[in-house]
Amino acid sequence: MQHPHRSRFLSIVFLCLLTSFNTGHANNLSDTEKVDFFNSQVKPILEQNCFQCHGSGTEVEGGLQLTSREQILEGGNYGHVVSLENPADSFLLQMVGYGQETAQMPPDGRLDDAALGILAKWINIGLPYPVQDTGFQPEFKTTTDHWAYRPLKRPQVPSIHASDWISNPIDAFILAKLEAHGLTPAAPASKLILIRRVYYDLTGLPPSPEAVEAFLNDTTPDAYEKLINKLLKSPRYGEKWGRHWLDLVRYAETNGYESDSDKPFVWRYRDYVIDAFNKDKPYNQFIKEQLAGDELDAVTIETVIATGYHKLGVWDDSPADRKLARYDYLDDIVSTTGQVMLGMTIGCARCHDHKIDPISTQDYYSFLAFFHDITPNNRGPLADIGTPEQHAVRDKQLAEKRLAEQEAQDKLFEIQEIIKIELAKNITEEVVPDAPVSVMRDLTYRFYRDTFEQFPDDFDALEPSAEGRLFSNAFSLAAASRKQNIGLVFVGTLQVPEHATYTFHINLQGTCRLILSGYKVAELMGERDVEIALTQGDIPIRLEYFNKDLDKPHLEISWSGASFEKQPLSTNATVNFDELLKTHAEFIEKNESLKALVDEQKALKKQRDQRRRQRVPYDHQALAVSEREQTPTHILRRGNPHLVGREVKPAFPAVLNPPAVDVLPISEEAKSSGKRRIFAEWVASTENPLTARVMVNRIWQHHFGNGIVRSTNDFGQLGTPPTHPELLDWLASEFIASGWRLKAMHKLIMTSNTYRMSAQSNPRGIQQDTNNDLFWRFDMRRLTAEEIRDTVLWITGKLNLKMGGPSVFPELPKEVLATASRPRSVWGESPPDEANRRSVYVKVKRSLLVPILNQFDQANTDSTCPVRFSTTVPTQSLTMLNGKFINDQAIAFANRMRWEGGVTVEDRVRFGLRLVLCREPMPVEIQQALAFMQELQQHEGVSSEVALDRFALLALNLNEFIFLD
Amino acid sequence: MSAQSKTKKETNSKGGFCGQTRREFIGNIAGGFASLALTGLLSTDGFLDSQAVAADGVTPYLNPLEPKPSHFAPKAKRVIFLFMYGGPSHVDTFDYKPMLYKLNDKTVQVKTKGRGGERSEGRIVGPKWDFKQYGESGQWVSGLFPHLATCVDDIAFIKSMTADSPLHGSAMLMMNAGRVLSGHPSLGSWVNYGLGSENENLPGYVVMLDRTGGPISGAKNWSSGYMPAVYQGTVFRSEGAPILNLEPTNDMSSSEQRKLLDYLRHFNATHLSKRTDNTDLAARISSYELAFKMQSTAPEAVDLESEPEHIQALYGANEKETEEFGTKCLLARRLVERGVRFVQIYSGGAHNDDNWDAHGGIEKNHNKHAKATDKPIAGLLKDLKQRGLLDETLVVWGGEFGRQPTAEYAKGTGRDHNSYGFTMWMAGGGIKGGISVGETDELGSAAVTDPFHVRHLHATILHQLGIDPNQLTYFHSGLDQKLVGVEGAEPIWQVMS
Repeated sequence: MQHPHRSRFLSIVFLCLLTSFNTGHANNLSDTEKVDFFNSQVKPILEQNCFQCHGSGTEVEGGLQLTSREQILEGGNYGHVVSLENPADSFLLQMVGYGQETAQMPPDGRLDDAALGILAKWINIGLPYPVQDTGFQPEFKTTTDHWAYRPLKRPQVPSIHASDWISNPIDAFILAKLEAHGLTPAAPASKLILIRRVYYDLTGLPPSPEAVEAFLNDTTPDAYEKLINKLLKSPRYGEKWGRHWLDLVRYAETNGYESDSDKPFVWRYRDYVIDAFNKDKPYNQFIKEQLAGDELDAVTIETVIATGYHKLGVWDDSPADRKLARYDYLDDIVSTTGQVMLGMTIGCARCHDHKIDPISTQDYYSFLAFFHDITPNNRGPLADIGTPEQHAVRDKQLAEKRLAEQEAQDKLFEIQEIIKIELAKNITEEVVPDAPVSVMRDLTYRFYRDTFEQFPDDFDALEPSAEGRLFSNAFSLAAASRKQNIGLVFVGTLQVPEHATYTFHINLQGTCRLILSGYKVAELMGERDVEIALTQGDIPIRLEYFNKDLDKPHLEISWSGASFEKQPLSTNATVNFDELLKTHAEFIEKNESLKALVDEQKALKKQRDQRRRQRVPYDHQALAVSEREQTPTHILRRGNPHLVGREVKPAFPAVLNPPAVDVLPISEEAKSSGKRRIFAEWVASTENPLTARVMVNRIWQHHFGNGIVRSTNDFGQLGTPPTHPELLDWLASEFIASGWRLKAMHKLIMTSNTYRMSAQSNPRGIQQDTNNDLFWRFDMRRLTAEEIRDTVLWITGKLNLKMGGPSVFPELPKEVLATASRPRSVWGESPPDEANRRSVYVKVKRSLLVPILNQFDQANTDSTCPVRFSTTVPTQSLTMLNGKFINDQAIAFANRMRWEGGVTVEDRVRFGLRLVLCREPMPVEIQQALAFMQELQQHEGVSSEVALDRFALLALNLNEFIFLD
Repeated sequence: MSAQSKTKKETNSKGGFCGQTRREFIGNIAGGFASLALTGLLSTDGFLDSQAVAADGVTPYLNPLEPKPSHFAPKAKRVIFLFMYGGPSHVDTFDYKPMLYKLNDKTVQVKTKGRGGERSEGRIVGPKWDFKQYGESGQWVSGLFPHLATCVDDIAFIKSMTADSPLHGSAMLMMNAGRVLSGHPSLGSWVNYGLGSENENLPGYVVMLDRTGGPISGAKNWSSGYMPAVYQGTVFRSEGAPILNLEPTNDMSSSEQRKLLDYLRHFNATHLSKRTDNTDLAARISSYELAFKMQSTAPEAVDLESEPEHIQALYGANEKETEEFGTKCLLARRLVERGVRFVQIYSGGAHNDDNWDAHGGIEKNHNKHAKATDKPIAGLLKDLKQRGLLDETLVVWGGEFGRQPTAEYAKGTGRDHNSYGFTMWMAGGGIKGGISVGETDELGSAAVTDPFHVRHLHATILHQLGIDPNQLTYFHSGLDQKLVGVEGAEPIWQVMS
């Protein structure tokens, strides 16, 4: 097929460029020079601009592939694109030069002249294209066999000559490698070291002196196992291990950016995670609930809360580019889910095929398609998780609140009418917009708030909710403090100018009854004219109005007679009462009785406003996922949402040999597409080669400090390969066999001798394996930020172990608050005992970090945090020496030593050190402590009391306290 | 210029780490940044020989703030970034647009985008100050900056700046961290990561905030993002203790504290004796000594008593209106003198007219903030110059965006945000003085000649510090992240001397 515009159109610029190359000696280039030219100049242009659509993927745009010389010469749907005989005529050059209108490539902008010149020269010198150069062809053949993508097979446990050291198969895997490298495992850790280690690993808190003593005294063979069992049952376990998960999913309680607004009820997700760990929810179920808890067969409050997973990320409520922000939001979910659940850095394929891993842009957008319909707004809509009883309570409270507000409004209306009447008595000029009509007098209203089923026949038999005079002497719905289920009765006098027939023009929403001189003239709905003959003089007029459930009640009545045109008998004018008072302020000031009325009015208004503002708390809500509509997903060229490419269907990354995805048509009643459930079930399936491997590696990581794969979020080729691939696979198989139970894995790992090694070093190990990749010893670690803060509170006896609920606000220094743009409202206030809850319950505000947690490397919350940093810097020392928190706690700690530690200073110090070190202090340590305090007393003139305070501070700064053997 | 641009092209053609495994990549960029990090291994006293690893679990992370050699000979050793938070109006300050005076109050067709959304026409607000040419170079400066006007021969104005967002939150992140997305390290973090800091007794990256409060998003603006917290900015105060927790509490005297530290060291040394291979323990012991030194160094750095009166006067530190910013500028000089690598001072804080965000009226707002900063900034430039420090200190001035030539509302002179075109300036640190580069259109509504993106500004700052902006990388989330973005950016060569 020939393209109609195929030839003879070249831009001027283009001709010039070609000419300049033709005059050179391009064709005299050697083959090597040509290859160099291609590699250094042409290839980057093709890579950056062409291969996404014309590379070697399965679908090639326009049938044109640019990945070999043959393919280029073959051309595409438009026919030949390169003419070697007549290079300047090449259609390719016209397309890239935007020389004609129908095919302009690349579509998102013309290449610069330099690039055009290079392509022209390339064709001119004969289109050199080195065949052996496949490095950039996104074929990924070599990588599909990557270890992490291979199906999981349970490996054989290495058979090792009988060794006492082997407690379970983990040790066999470890020992086999150690022996192969001529290394021996470190000696077992002492019981003292072990109990502190397992307490921190499983609960994030130290053992009490009593617990230490009990463990030391328990000489039964299963003492250690019993200890692990006990700690796995402790609710502290979920708080410790839930925090690991919260790091991964970048849990925070605000949205970040300019307003950094709260994510309402997001703490329920945090509680869900803690609870899931505590009840040992199978990991596959845990994943499914978070990804698609709203689409499972059994949707429960718990699974709905779990879907808060999709709402945890940063979110800009006023982005510069809304479309881009939408895809940033989705990318955040894709990247997080890919790394956290699959160990894949799939987010790297957003703009171009993954540079290293076999993940194409098509994979990326097919992956994104599972999440494409998620409602973006991070603030809502909130899921209602209330029970019918809770709804009933809320409805009742709402009704009460509304009634209180209406009652206040009734009183306010009554007094305002009186004030207007009083004002009108004294001031001649027209005072208000609802100025009185001249033909009625002494009009009063009665307002009925009872819930009527129908228009009551006899209002007089009912008790009105409010009544009063109407200044306007006109019928007005303003006398009703609500719209529905109301009755109004107006009574007054109508001045009839002469004997004649009059027409009442009635137009209303609702029902009304007009009674003149005790005679019911009309009872009607809608619009009607009523004619009636009336005698001259004052006659009683009565109007009864009723509205059951119309949203917009309306009442409009006028009359006309022989001698006059339509005159209104009703008004719907609204009065700005404050304006009115302002206008007549001077007069009111002079009139005492009026002033008293106005003051009363102000009080009533305040009351009304207060009641109106009062919020009925309804906490049974959750930040959860929702989907609004189904929209197709398209590939976005270079990740640019304004360059929409072809549509893709949801699919799993091709490299994993995944099952096909079959999205069923959505049923009428379904609230979502079901795509996320399909995705979740694939992630959570035993067939998925990554899920179990990634998770057991994390469990290992948090016991040993390092994963078997150290790059725990990246199992791809940029990550590190496993140090013990067979062990990883064996653990993953065990994990699945255990029903995806974490607690079983903890027990398995912790009962290994590998875990029970000491951290003692030996020269051979250091020399051969400095990084301890082979696990020849246990690695010491510094406590985490949360462990440090929690332990300090625990030592002082102030730690509040209350679980769950909205987050708490520990006191922050004003210097820290001053860094916010709204220093006064940026942080909340919690009572001291609440502020002393575990750190996992401390408010996570993206733009304001709690110094002690921040300085000790708490997780960054803007992207997934698989490994905490462990830094050592002087500002940490300043915080631990001079900070208010630590000094307050030091005094509390000293007090505890005084009250619980005994009478002598020595006993108190022993008591304190026992708490801090989780062991019996050595005599020399007590002596040192005493020497310190004596020195302070003798040379610094401090009291013995203060000296103990100082010692308490010293103790909380000990390395032995901050580090774990 | 040509030498550097050539270097860049060569690295580009290699395609970054394309085709290499992570490990090969780390090995191969020896001579690039990895070697900078490796020099940390040679640290003499063993302090901070941390075994910690980066968030990828792979990259060794060593001695974070140890000074590191630059990629090439630096022009500037340190940076003072004067952040005019809220967005000063370029057409009322340095970008002279005669047309605007003539069109005052006329409605014209002009494309704008601000917090009020996109508009295609608006009522022109003529500049409220007269412009004059100053210096030998004849740079245009409005009546807002009479003092600064005397320094223009040292200043390069970039009058064609553009940014991705006209909204404070994301625009602040962009100016500070190069991206409208939250979670990336700020410029100062990158500089400290790349070069370390010269004075271990002071933070390497100092931020000074306005009395009214921090900017929108607070600490996010000096966050280290996905890098360790050691690279984040430290908030320095000009009143009271300069750094949080710098002074002992509960009436503890310095000598008491010294004794506490001596005993602490004793305890810790005993603990270390059985764990000698663990450098983290030793590092923590040293960190207490450094903290102790910091307690005396930092107050000394902020002790302005030692500054002669005429120097204080030069900064306006003794006048009511200029005292706050003048003090901070003087502090900034003292800090860079002492080796602090990156100092950022905010003019304006909190919201609305507490900063340069002149929605309500341009005159009152800009008179206030220009008055508060003009003399101090001029004083800073002059003082740096007379001490011979200007040559190696890069001073950067600007906000997160500029303002529109048109009025935001039907009445008044308030201007909405404008990220299509605005002015920033640089001085010192190898910057060519007395020039202006780039242009906006005749209304000042958008950059038209040589538009420069925030990335180019960042690239320029890094380049002046001797860092190749396209080679300074940090591995995170499967990518070698750069301040200037994946695609990289050239420095603004025109402003270099």
